[in-house]
Amino acid sequence: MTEEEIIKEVLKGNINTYAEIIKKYKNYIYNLGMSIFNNYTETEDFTQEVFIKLYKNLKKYKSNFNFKTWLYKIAINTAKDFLRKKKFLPVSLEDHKNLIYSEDKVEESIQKNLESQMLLSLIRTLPEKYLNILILRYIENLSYEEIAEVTSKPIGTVKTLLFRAKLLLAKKLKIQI
Amino acid sequence: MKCKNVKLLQKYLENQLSEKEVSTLQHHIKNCPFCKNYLKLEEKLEKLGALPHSEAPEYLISKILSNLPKKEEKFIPNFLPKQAFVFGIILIFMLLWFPLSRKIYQKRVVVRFEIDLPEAQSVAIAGDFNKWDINKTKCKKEKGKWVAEIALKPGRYQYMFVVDKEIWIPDPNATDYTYDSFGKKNSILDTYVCGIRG
Repeated sequence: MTEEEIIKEVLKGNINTYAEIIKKYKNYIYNLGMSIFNNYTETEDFTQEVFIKLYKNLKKYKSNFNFKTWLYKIAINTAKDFLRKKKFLPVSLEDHKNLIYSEDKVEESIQKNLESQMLLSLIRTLPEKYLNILILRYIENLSYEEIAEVTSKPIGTVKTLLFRAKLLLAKKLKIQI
Repeated sequence: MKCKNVKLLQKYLENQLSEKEVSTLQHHIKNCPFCKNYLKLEEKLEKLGALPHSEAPEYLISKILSNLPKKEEKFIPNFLPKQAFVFGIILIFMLLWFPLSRKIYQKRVVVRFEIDLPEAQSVAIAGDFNKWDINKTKCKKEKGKWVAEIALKPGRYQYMFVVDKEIWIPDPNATDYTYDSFGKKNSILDTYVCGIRG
């Protein structure tokens, strides 16, 4: 079944077909959540919330819009609410180190990516508008055009925000820019 | 310090420069700490994409499915567009409201109370219509008489005059009288019997 066919089925009331959509996209949303929150419980709640919101808004979906981008749009708005509501405190670098070393199973792969993990931890300390945009660009690998659609901002603004985010990040990394 | 070539640098990262521009810029980068560091950071950021992706646990699917909201709009027949439904609700509301509104906005009648008490310092009226509050309806002196006018819904009310805030006396001009639970004689006003008193 194509996406459109699945959506039609779901809208008819066939809830089980919605499982197909969840199966297909859950990892994108979960990974986005982990990148932003770095917390399993929070990410699980977040993923659930995104798919419930998606379900409620499914009838508003127009097929000329890219489905994945549309889903990201819902996800980013949900993430904003989560960050605002729960005043989630980003994990500090020290906490992060502890977290990394306590997880034996993934230790090796994470050790390899230690530098990137540290950078990600720093990104999490940035204001939400920079955090979201950096994650969409560098972790989710979205294009400028896609980010513009997801965040409902002009491409120029997206580029400016990314640039400012990098300047802030450089400051935190004590790189002289 | 920000470098003036930062826009070129961005275009360079997006592969939008000509070969000639690239070579000029590369030469500049070698001598510019800003551009050098900016590119270094960009490299670090690009490595983020290589981080292992977290995978959502399988049980999440059934958890989400069981938490989906039940379709609420089921009671709206499918053949009816939403607008028609809203219109229907408004219509029902108006039909219900019409007889109700007549009751609520029943015309009030202005009732004039008068009593001749030249010695009194103050006169007020207390009754069913003002919850027997002696401070709510005060009379004014008009040509030697104490007078008050109140707009009331048609009905039957008990009331008394309160002289100098202490002495309760019935209205000598009342249409009727009754005795309350304290054994006091209360005046009765029946708008259906007397219409507008005066």
